[in-house]
Amino acid sequence: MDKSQGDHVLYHALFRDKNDEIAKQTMDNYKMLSKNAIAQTYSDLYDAELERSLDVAHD
Amino acid sequence: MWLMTKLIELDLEFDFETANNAFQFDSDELHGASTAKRVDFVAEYDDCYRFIEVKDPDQPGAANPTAFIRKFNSENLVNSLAGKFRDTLFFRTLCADHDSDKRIEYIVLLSCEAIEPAMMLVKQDNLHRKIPIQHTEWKSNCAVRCVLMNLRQYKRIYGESSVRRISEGAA
Repeated sequence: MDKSQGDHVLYHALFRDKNDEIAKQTMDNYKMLSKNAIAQTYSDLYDAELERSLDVAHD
Repeated sequence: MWLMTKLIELDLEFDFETANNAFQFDSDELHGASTAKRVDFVAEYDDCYRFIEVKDPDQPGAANPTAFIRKFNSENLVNSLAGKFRDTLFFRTLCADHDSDKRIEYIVLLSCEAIEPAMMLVKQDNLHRKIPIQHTEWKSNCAVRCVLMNLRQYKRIYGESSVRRISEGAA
């Protein structure tokens, strides 16, 4: 795969919608995925680690 | 040194309203010809000193954000951050007004949307080892808290008005 040679990449995120059905979000830019459970988990872990390191608590 | 509430580094303005004292530590006026590395700000609170280092590759017109990402991915950035902390700690602990009963917090604010939280966590662990903040030969852990945080987290922990991007206006 070589994007500079015109190869295209699409990123898909699978999630359950409000009807509990499996849905997908598709973007050509990874950072634009808003339903990214993996990235969100890292973000939550990071927040928790900062709070632990600084001994502060947030909701 | 004198008490100032607001201090500026690059495109970011910090409000140290709740500090007892805050000043620009990275100052030739203060350090003269010394080659010691320096964090940008030192702020004093009732229970701690906060050493603050600012990296702002997201500032509008930043010289070379790509080069910064390369530096982040190599060991160079963490080595530099560790050196700044150690030299600042050395300087500050020898100052007449230093209170050794206060803990020290080393806050690295890294404003770079392109860096994922997972990578920030990895670099924070690397920084702990490089400084280091604990060692098997020590009888107790160094009384230091050390974190690497982005702009969102800085505001989340220290308050929405604790820092603002100058180019976005609205104090």
